[in-house]
Amino acid sequence: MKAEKFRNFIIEQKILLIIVAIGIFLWISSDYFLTFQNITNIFQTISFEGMIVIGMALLIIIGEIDLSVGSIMAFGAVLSVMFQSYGVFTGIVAGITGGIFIGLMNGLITTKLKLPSIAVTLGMMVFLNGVVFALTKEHTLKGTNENFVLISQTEVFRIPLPVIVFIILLIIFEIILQRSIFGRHIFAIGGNATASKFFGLKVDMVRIICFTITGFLAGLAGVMLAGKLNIASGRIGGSTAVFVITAVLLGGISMEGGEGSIFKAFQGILLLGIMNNAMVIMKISSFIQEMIRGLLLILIVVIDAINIQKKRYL
Amino acid sequence: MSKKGNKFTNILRDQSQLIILILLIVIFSITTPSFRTTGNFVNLLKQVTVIGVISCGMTIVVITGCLDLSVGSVFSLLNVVSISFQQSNNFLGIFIPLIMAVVIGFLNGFVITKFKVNSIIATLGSLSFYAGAALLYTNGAIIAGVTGTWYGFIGRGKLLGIPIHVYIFFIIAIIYQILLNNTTLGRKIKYVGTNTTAAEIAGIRSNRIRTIAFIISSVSVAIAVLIYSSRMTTGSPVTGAGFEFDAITAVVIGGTSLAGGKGSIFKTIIGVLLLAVIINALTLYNVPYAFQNIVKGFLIIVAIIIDIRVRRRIEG
Amino acid sequence: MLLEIKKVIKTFPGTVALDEVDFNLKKGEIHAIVGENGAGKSTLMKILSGAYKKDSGTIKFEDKKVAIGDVDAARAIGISMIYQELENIQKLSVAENVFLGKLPRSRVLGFVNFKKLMIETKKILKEFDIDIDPGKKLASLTTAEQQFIEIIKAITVKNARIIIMDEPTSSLTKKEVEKLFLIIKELKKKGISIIYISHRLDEVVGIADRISVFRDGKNQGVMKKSEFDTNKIVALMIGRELKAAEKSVSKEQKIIFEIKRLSIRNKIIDFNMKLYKGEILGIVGLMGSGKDELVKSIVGLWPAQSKEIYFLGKRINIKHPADAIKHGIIYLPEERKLQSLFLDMSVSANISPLWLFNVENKFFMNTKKEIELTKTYAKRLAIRTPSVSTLIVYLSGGNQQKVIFSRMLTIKPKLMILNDPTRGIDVGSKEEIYNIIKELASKGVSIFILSSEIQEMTRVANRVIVLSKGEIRDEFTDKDITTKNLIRSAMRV
Repeated sequence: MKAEKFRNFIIEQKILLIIVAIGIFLWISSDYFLTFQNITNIFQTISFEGMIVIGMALLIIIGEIDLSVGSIMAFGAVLSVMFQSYGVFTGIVAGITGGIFIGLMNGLITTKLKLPSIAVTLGMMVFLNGVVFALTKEHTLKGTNENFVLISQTEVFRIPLPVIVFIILLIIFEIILQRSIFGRHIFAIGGNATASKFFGLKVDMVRIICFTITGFLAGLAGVMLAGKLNIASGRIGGSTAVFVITAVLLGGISMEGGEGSIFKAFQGILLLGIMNNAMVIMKISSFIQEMIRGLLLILIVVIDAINIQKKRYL
Repeated sequence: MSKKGNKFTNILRDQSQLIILILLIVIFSITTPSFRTTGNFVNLLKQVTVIGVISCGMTIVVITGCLDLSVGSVFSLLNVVSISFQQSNNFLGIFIPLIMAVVIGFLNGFVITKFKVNSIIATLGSLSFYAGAALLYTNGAIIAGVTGTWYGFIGRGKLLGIPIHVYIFFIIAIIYQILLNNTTLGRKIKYVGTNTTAAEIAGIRSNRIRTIAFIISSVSVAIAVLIYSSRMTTGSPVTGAGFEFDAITAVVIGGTSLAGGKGSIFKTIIGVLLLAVIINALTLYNVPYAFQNIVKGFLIIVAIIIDIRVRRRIEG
Repeated sequence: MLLEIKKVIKTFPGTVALDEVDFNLKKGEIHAIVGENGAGKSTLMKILSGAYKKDSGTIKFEDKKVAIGDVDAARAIGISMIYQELENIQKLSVAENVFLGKLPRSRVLGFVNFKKLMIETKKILKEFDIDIDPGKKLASLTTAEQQFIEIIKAITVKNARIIIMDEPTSSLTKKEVEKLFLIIKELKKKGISIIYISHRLDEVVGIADRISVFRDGKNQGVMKKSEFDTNKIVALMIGRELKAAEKSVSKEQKIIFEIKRLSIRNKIIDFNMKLYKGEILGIVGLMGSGKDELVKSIVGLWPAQSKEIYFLGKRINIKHPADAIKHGIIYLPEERKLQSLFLDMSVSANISPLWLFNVENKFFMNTKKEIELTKTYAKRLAIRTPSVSTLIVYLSGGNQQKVIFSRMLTIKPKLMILNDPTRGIDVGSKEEIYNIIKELASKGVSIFILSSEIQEMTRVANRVIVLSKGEIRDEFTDKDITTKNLIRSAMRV
């Protein structure tokens, strides 16, 4: 009985264990790894796209996807740089509002017109990319308000603000997902949308809200990212969609939908962050890193598909 | 849906993209003098050949019900490989990219069909992989080729005032169209895209057919690389970035359905020309380059909305 | 009288599903409806649950006329239906399924009171003596347990008055059926009425207060518990026994095809069968008998744990329908629209696939030949279509099926496996298809036919196997193939 329980535990927490294993490996091979600076660095790096992972997790659980998140992030960054001349707060609001608006558009077009979200957000990605390039006139925009960097460079107990925001968002959304009616409806709809509708759940509304939340998070990520060096360009977010989707799947959330947690999504992005860190410490070129990212996405989506297929012929 | 339908309105609806294209050409010709010069038209055709060939390959994949997002990165990779051989052995510069294309297409197809993975996500992964590979191959730099390769005539030669590669584009398109409409392979492709279950029960191995489609797509990229590299003297490892969206836009606005089963190379050529005419007009009107993506993205969304067959079945 | 249905009519293009049906239900009554497939039971239930609208007739609930316009209206009256295919959310817990759409709220706005959710669920489960942990994922429960939860879900609706159960025991063991009956009796105690639809006569007589027998869209008779008589019920179900149609039996008794040791996990146990040249072999079985998975696994569409197929004595390997086709074995799926037809394509494109890839087998297509082929078969099978290039979606169901038949005939098959070939087809076309099948058999083609309509078997089959819960129960030949025998065997009477 105990052996069985232990075995189940290993399978359940396999990602966490992999993280620990890589952590131990890095600790042995590099003095630098376990320093406060490095750990904070890892978190700092993953915070921005990590916020987006939260939204993507909600979408994948409900059975949708959003490929435009990278472009939304760039959009939010650009808006915040453009509007900060009216004040830091205005810049922040501008970026976030932009994100919310695009998310809402994605949601409305997908649900009201009954189109596959993968295709709609693909088109939105290209469209928004163009908008961003148009706004920046293909240059890198520099922010004019010196105080803007405060949003990303402020530290609380030596922890950068973006990290704190990320962790707070993680906690808030996990609570919403697991314990609120809205959250439980996300699971229900992702599990069986027909049955959910039959029993009175507002399927369309929940879907639209999920897209909007993702837009909000992507916009926020863009704003905070811009705050790092107070610049924004169309080059932001190019590989974000791949990164975020990989993180969600890596954490153990299935593309089939209907189950998962924000904690799992967090594990996914933490693993990616540590792997990135490992590759940097081992001085692997960024070109190879991109190849590994692509390969990892393919690998993880194949494993997920195999698991789904196994259940089919029961 | 009326049973017989007015034959005329059916043709109208079916060829609406062609009509829009003709209308736009007429409108722009009237309003913008610089549009209707032969020089402009030839220029326009020149620009479409590379994307045009890639779009033809993409059409086959879309008809089987999939998408190939890797074509842009694969173009980057094959391009630098091809140019890197220009200095030493021209023949290898043609041969090796073709072999690589077959392998890449096979890998894409194999992973997607064997494991039943979503083609958009899988080829998104391929996109990253081959983009990184291209950068790795040149170590991030732009590599130098040579001027005057023996096959340079493809890119630079002219026949009757029209560049050779324009002829090549049309020949490729005709070959693909014949493949699609007049061969058993083409018919299998249509069956698989229309109803995969029925195709399987009729004895068609849909996995093989889809893999072949992906190979055709990658080989089309190799042919496009041939056209492109034959007139270039340098190669950048990021040239192909964004080509996948140009190709998908052309296919989708040309009228081939993303749901699979329906479509033709002819429609895609219309789509390619439509896109080129619109971009051309924008350029002539001095609209900044950045707006092109806005237009492309907008057109993709509009085309998807119009494509009724892609709509989800109503729940409950 | 809680529910009174009078003279309800419902027609579909080509068929009359309900022909002035009468039915009534008392409060706290368990009223069973039996009848063959196509007798009208499902249609009436769909009308009651709001999925369909009746054409005419009256429905009275508690002596007031009601119009059940949609599913919500039915639920408002208190009618819930439990379908054969359970509509639940596998990945959620039992409790969340039971309270789907009615999660108890906590004091904090928008949040769930999980404690209350568990307590309430436990309470209801206890009332029915169901020992299931409400926190468990639904997917981890057995089918029977999931069914019980479905019932619980149906009665947590505010004012559940009538629960309709459609074939609730098709995948249940004997013990589970007993448990189900306990639950039903408990419902009765609470004053909830049950409409119980089933083919299992032995079970029905055990649980019902009254039984109505449906046939040809009419209620042929209502029996009270004290009057239950299975013979009478079967007689009412089949009506007049039609004279067995003329069937030719091939003179040569050559075994063309043999299946040995076919086993499919959870569905079929060690199936063995011989098939003769020119024979029409029928398979009959209720839901859960495994007959669908059986035929699918023969052609490689469903995985089998063990499978030996012999063709003319030699063992052959079939992993994919393409392998089967190479040996002349063709499968006709039960759902045309989803599994056979290429809806957006022309009639000729729908007739030619097998021919193109197996007979003609050339790289380049000869469209002229294809059109000739289409015209030949359209004539031979009397397919009514405006032209060969008409999209097949515009043809009637019967003509569509004939197109699929033509498709199979183009490669001169040796064995045709037909899964419910006349489903959803008008009577006229059905006859035509029976004749086609008989003609093929007389020419030496062996036919393996599955049907949900038992009457059909008597008209075409030379031999019929009755399948029940994965095993062969009975085999009937020639004169013994009567509707009575088949029904009694299938229903384990």
